[in-house]
Amino acid sequence: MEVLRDTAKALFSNYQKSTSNRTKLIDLFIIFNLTLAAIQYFYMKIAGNFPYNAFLAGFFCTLGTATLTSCLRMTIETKKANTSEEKAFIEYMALCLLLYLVVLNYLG
Amino acid sequence: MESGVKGLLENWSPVFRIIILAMICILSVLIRVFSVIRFESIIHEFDPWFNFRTTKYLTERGVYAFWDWFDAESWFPLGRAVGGTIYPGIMLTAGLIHSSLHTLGFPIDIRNVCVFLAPGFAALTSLAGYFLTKEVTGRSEAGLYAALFVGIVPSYISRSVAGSYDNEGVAIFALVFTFYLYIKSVNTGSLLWSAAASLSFFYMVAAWGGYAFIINIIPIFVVGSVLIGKFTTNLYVSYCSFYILGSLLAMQIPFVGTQVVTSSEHLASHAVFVFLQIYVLGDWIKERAGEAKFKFLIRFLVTGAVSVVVIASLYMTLSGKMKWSGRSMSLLDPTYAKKFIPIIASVSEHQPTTWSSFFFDLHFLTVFAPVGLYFCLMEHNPGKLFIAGYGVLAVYFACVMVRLLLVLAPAVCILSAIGLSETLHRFTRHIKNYKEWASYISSKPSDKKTKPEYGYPLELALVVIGLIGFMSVYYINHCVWVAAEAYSSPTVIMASKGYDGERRIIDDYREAYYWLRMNTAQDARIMSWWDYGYQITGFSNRTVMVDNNTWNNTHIATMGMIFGSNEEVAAKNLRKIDANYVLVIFGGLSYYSGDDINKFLWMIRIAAGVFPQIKEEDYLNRGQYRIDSGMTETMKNSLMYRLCYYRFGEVQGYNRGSGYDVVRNAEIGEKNIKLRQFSEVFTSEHWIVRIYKVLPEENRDTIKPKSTYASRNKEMKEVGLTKVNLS
Repeated sequence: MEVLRDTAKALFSNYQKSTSNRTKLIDLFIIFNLTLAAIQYFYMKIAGNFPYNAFLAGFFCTLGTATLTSCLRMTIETKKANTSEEKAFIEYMALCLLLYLVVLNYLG
Repeated sequence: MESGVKGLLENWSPVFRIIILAMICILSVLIRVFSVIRFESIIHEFDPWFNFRTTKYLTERGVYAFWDWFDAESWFPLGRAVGGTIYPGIMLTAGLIHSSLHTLGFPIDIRNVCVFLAPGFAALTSLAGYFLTKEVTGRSEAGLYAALFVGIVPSYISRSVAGSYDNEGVAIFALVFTFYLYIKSVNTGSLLWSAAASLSFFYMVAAWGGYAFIINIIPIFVVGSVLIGKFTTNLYVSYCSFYILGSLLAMQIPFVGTQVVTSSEHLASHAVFVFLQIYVLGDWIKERAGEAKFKFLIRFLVTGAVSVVVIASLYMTLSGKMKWSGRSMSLLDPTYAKKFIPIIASVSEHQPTTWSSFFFDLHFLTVFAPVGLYFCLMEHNPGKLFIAGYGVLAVYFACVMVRLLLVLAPAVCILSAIGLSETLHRFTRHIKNYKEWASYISSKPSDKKTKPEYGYPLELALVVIGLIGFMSVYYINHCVWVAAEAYSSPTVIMASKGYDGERRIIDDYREAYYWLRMNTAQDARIMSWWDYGYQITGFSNRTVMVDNNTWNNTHIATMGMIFGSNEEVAAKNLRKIDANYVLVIFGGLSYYSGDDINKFLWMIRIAAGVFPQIKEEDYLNRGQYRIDSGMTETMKNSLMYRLCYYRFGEVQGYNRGSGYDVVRNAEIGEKNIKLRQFSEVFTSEHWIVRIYKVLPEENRDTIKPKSTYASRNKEMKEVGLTKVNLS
């Protein structure tokens, strides 16, 4: 147990030190979206899932934005991919737009 | 001089490529129009008639009416909500092409658009195959081979001839194109390509139920790549965006809807998505935390995660929350359908594939494909691994059902194109470097010449290239022959050759359906076996009881029970479900072996699943299915027998007795059939289609006289009223 706590602390301090502010912003956005998804899921459990398509649309919207942002983070930050930053960002915006269009259609 | 020619050829090679691709497209269209030339421009078979009818409805009344259409003309008392129970891709495509042609000023009839849609899409599929192979191998010669093979492979021709207006015609194009876009996105890591892939996947979901293949093979490929250590950022980016957009888009089709999250077919994509996130997170932790701590964490987390997943999936399956559809079950366990779902087992397309079907449908590609598989695995990149995995998985499914041989066809074409291209590449290099190699072989060891990379005896190399050329030409020959002879028959029209070689057209189906259209009331209800439902609604525009959609097993079993019962019970049931006419197909006079008497045992099996009074053994004489004098009593009294052989006992054949059934090769058992509850209203020219009207109930039951002369005498004697002896 203590090993876990130590590891977690070490990881957290390492994260604080070594990641740039921009990356931390992106990570915060991802965690925000995931929290929204979790809130929607627990609300569905409490209040019932009557318009099921509405729940699915909202859930996948937050989950999708989180995923796309993490793809953006992978492309820009890890330097393993070979696209320029501007191109990656434009693609990210385009895909988010497409995602929101589809969600809009499915919300009903 | 030589370099001048070589340089010229190299400069012109893009032009050659385009010309060759254009010729391949034209070839793949032309090879499919044999039936239009030999017969006419007509929709073939059974399922395309329903697609055609819905497309006509779409063009006549617009998209909104089509989306909300409730069809009261099929499944008579129940009806069918067409908008929500079809894959609308092909109808919307044909409607779009029809309306754009009309706006451009070409008033082409919707029937011709539908008939020629599949060959057009076949040309597009060859193009997609070219691009996919070029992306996978980086070589355009392999792409050209693949385009040629995909364009004319017999398995694909069988489902996309001109007139076969079925889902697979557009779906195979969507399949290959989605794979091309996905491989492109894995190779470049660009989000736009994976957006294009998910849009193409959306088109595939709209077009065919086989989209489940794509949504399972891509996760399997991703997991396989990660497990062999080939995880890259591009892989992660492409799969995650494809998964999110693809799943969301798949939910837009009403027929699929929430099945994306509840059915077992999408489970692999969800699982792999979660797995990828965990993998990336673990990778990140490993980088920061160091090896030893990481190992401990891993052991802790993995045991927890695996146990959670196992418990969750067990709970979902056992509590019935997650359903495995009948078709998925029969794919995983090929004997499942035969034991539990006779209606799936009775379709001839769902039988396991024989080796002869493989060779007939794929010809020499079955020989070239393993070569391609070898080259794919030798020097691999993500695209080649994907194609290899696609080929192997598709082989399994093709072995389970004949119908799925179609999914294997593009894989085999691409693999053989890769194999052929690599082999030819090597052997042409052998021939080019022949002089160098010959001098190396004949030199002494003291000369210390290095072994050239390419070298082979010239004759052998020439023989190999000649063999490959011969096999390719023979393949093309076979494909053209198959397209002309085997797969171009419209099923509604049949042709046979007379004794003097003249061609006789057997047009009984259309004769009968047109009779129905002209001589029955507008709201007449036709009862027949489910095979002919789509054709009856398409040709005659009359209401049917059951059709090829086979969504209600009990209703179909009721039809089977009616055909298997005796005349009185059958007529009573027919009046109860309010049917006016009965249509049977009979091939005993015209050598047509796909008739209802041959299907009768399947009808009984399906009915026996729902009605306990129908037992299959009652219709078999010691395990044998007979219609001659050795048939059982139940068979003799069954409605199917009586309707098929009514008046057939009067038919005299050449050198045979009367009532000789040429398909079963026997004289029928009862020749003097009298029908009390039905009247024959139509029999087509070669007796193939027979239509009977259900007579209304008699006005009163026949009254038996209560007393005869002798019994009245006996009564009076008992009472003592008569002393006369009347014996």
